[in-house]
Amino acid sequence: MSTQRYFRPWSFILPGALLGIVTLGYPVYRAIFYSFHAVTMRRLGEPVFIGFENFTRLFGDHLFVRSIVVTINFTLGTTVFAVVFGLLIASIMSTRGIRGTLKARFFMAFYLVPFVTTQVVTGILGRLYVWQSSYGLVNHLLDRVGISGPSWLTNLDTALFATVFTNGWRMTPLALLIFYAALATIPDELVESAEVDGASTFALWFRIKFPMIRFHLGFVSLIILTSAFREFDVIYGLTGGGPGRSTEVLSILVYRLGVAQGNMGMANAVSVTMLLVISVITIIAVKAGKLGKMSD
Amino acid sequence: MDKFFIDNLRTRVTFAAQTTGNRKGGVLYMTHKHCSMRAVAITLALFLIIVPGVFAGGGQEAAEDQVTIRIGEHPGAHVGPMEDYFIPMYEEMTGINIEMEVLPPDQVWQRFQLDAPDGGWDIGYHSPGWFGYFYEYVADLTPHMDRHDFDPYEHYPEPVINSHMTNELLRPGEIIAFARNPMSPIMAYRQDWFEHPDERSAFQEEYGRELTVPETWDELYEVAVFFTRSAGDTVAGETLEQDLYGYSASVSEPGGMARAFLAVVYSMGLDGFDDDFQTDLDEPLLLEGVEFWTRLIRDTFPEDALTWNFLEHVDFFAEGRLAMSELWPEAVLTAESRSAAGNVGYSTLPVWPGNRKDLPIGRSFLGGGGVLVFDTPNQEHAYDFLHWLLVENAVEFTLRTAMFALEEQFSSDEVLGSQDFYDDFLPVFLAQMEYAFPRQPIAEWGEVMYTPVGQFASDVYYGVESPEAAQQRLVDNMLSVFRREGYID
Repeated sequence: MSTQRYFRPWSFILPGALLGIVTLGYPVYRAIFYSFHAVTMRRLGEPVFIGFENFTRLFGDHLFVRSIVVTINFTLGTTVFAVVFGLLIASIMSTRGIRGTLKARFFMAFYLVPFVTTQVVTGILGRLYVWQSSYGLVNHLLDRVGISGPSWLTNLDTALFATVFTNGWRMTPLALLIFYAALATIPDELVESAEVDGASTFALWFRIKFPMIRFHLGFVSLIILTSAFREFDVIYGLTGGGPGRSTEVLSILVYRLGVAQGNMGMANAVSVTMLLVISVITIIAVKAGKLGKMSD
Repeated sequence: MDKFFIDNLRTRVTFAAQTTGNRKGGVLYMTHKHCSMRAVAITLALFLIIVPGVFAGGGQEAAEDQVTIRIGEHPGAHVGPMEDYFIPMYEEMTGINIEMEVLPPDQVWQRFQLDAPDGGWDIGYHSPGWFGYFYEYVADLTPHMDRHDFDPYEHYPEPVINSHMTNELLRPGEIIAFARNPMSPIMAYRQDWFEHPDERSAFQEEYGRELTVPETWDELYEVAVFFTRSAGDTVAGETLEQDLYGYSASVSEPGGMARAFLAVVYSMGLDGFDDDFQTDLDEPLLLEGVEFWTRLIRDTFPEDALTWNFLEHVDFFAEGRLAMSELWPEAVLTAESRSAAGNVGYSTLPVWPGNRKDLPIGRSFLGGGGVLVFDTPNQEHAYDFLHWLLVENAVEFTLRTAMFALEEQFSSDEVLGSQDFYDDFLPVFLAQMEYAFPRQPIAEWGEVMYTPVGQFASDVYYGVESPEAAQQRLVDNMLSVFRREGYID
């Protein structure tokens, strides 16, 4: 009986675990395998073992280091943008008098559009209609207030900003949804009694609301961080990694090395590096944010 | 209904009701009647699933006789006429079904590489630079041409056969494709502006020589700078509503940049690498070329050109916002439209004085493409369709697409009479093709030349690396690939 009680939960997990091993474990194994080989897309079946040579070449290349810096900037920029705006909008939407109204529900549905739009379409539309220098939406709006907008996507100084803005805009609804749900769980009585006790808006946020949604904050940040770290579609559609590699994040580098140049060994070395980095970030974030205790 | 099943079910429902404390659990007791209804519902559902399957199976047998040819195409002027005219006509004539999918340009070879081993395509777009990625799966057209008593050497210019229809390294002795739109870029310019007295006198005053169509790359730079003007200025006596630019190509990185910059590389007489896989890209001449190219883009191209893909700049030319333009011949109908219509002059690419091959004109690679047949059970039908389309209907095809490959397409009176500008355009087109650079037929051409050369020019233009460092990266990459493939030690 005790043996059955021990093994029974595992039998429930087994199908999903097997599926996970096949769909995740095997590709990860192949990626690690190829990263230690000289192998091209055309000759995937003929890898030649070269040890750490791919990694040595990568880390000795200043363009790879540059790509890491771009990825960090892009990831942090997207996360900060989405979390700040998501929280801001969610707090407005959850205010008494607005929460639950028809307008609020309409706005919520409307605001989900960026999140459900195909990523590559977001990128292409951004390139053609939003950031385009002569007739794009952004420069049109700037023009209305007398500012001459730059060529956002061809300028080394502005392309990354445009890319972060676009991806942040796309990820904001995710943050909004979770923050809105979290804020809705705070009892009105708690807020009202604090207000009766004379709590300022600042105190209300930092003494009551933030502590009550801190796990959600950590969870949303982690989800957006990991998503932005591996983002490809939006950037590819928007800038293709340019101009001048200024938006060449690691995932774009993987594409260029592996698909455009067919060098699967180097591409997988970058992928494995990405896997290691994101694993470390996730573990640190979960430990530091005590996200593992969310369910307690 | 199986009594054991009912009892078992009853026990489980009761257990569930008890363990969850659901006092209404008893209501969930299944009766024999409920179970019978459930059995009927399941039977009905199975019936509804199986019966259509049976009929569909019958239909499948009939469908097995139906030949379907799958075509993977590159976007271009041929797509509309094929979809709207040629394919429906052929389907009606033969009863063969043709499915054409237009693939994004930068995914064509990748899709073929992935799908060809499984017979995913019967016909595919052919670019000589991509052939190496899937050459094992392509059919030899020689026996099919013999069936039709068609000798390609009597119909196509020799450089076109060498570049687009054969590959002596990977498929020796075979015809691997039909050339459909082989071409090399020429230059288009606004003839009316070049002939306008105000422009001629202004140019004479500023540069001390006559305004003529540029014959060298330096002259091109000079004329392009001359015509680069801001909105509010005039050109040919008319006030400009928008900025005007002297010259442009589509130079998005790295593909667009590669396509355009290779015209400078090949005009300088560089080959990239020779028959012994020795590179000439380490020459200081390349640095001279990239410095010139950077200056030309910076001073005369519209900034948006840096985001444009293949041929997008030709729209800009047609709208009267470019004085000169790189022109891949398949875009001639676009160039001859809107405000540019009837005002376009054509010229071969300018010469690079002191080039290493003593070329009398500038040149780029022989690009454009063709169509190939994959080695599938449908290959005979696939070839027959292409023969009908590109050989038997060659003239009609050109009239509808402005694509040229066979000699009879260049010389047909019907074709020549169909557009006023063909008298000026076609001789330039042919002259340029005569000097076009045929790409080396190795599988890794894109890996060592196309993408890295485009990236080289982009990196230098944007200041990512010094020209010398970028050149070294270009050479190192080439040597590393050649070593990996065993071409050199």
